[in-house]
Amino acid sequence: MSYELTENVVGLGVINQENVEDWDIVIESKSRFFDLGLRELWRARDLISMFIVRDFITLYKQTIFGPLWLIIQPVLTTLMFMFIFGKLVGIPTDGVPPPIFYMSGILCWFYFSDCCKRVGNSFAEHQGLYSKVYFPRLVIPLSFVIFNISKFAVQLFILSCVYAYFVYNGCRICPNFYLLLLPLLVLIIAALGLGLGLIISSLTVRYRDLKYLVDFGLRLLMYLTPIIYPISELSFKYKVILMLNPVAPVIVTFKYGLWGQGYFNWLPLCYSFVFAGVLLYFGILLFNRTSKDFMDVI
Amino acid sequence: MTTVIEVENVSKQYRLGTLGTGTLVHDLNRWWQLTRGCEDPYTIIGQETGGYVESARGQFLWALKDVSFKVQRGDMLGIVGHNGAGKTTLLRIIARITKPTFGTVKIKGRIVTLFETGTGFHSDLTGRENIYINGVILGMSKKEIAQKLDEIVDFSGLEKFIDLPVKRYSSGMRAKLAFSVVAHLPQDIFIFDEVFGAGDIAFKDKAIKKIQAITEDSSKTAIFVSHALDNLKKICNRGIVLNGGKLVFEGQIDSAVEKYLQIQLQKSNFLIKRAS
Repeated sequence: MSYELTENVVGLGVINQENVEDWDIVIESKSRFFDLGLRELWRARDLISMFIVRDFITLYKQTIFGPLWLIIQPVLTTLMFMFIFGKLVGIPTDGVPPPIFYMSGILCWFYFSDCCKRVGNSFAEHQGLYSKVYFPRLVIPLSFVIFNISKFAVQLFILSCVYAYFVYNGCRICPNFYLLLLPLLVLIIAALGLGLGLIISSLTVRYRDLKYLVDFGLRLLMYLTPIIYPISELSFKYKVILMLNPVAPVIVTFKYGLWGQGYFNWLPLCYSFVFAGVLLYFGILLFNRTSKDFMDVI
Repeated sequence: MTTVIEVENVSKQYRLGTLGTGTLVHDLNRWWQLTRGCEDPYTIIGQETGGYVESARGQFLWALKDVSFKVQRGDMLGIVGHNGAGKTTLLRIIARITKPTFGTVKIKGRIVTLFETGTGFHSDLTGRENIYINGVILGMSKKEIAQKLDEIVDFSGLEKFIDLPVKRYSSGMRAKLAFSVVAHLPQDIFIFDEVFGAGDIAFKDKAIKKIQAITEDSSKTAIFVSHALDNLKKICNRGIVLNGGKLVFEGQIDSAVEKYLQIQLQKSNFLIKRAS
């Protein structure tokens, strides 16, 4: 396939005609386990962008609200959280207006869990395509995660509108320089979502019941992430336990940067970064391995 | 002559019945053993009976067994065999959709495998958008498609409808659009699985002519799998015959078809004998 085309190959007919050992594609029974296949992925960048465009065009075709869904979902969830956890349960919000407090966490979490679920479903969802034509299999999960960043960006814009509204009305909150870490935070969440999603997708090919476990597990993990409660209220011991969840430091840092109070520590953030890297690495290896023969299993 | 595809001792084993060892613990153990290069601790290969192998833990089927052949540049190779002879499995391995249990396949050049036309078509997208998506999935770059877009649209004869969503197309129109993309693919090696016949008769002629044009270009190589023996004889110069996962003949296409018919005759004679 064309992704195998290197400059070396273009000149093949002229220069290397005699060199019989110069193959472009070698298909073997044993897969090289530690090969991430990133070069092949880079050559398939056209395909990645095509899938992103396709997602854009088709997502809101024949829907009533169209792109408004991007806003409706987090806004309604925020309102619900404000009512249940703010009014009924009475959990404090660090002195920050509740809408901003809840929404900031919800957006990050949704980005993570959406990536996780969709990527985790990629073998099942694209079985038809995968069984008909070869392309680097990572293209589909990756294009989804990138596409989702744009969704996240739109939602962040809504959040900043809400933020501006409260500041305008005299609320004394002010972002600090840690907000500049935002690109890094997005990167970590994307890597976590993609990595975990890839592992899930590889495992659910064989063990389908894991899918239910994933939904359930993600919901539990959400409560282990400081979205609806401020971490500054907790004792040191619980802080440590909570920060073991790699999503938690990201959200905590985001919130700290957003309104300049609360809790921040470099150590959990570094842990989160390393964790995301390792998770993504093994996720890709497992996914590549599974993709070579999942057709025989599914 | 340059060899562009080299298939070496390719075997493919399928397990019938239960898939996986059943438990996560066993699977993890097996995975660990296999990655360390040890033998699968849960395979117990028993007596071999035909293509089937029965073991204590289920049945195995060798869909392909020790298949080796070479394809030279410019060759038009036809693969014939009965249903279940391993034709599609072989193509799937060459197409990298599934990997062989043993053996290697080496390929030189850009290859495209066509198990169906219109892969990746999305019914909400317009004809033009689908040309792009289908083309990129089949291995063209966006630039290549942009250059050939007018040609593709022209060939399909769907200029008027090209900006309509594909869901408004008839199935014939879809087939035309899909084949038009295939006809303009830039690859050097084509693999077709049962693709004779798309659209109405006028378009079918056009399609076969286009395939013949590809086949006459000596820099292009193609492999065909089909039951349409007449078409194969017309288009191919070489042929291989698969039977029960084994390669039983390799040579000129006419002799290959003859050999295939001979096997078929033997099989039906055998069935008649058994019945009487």
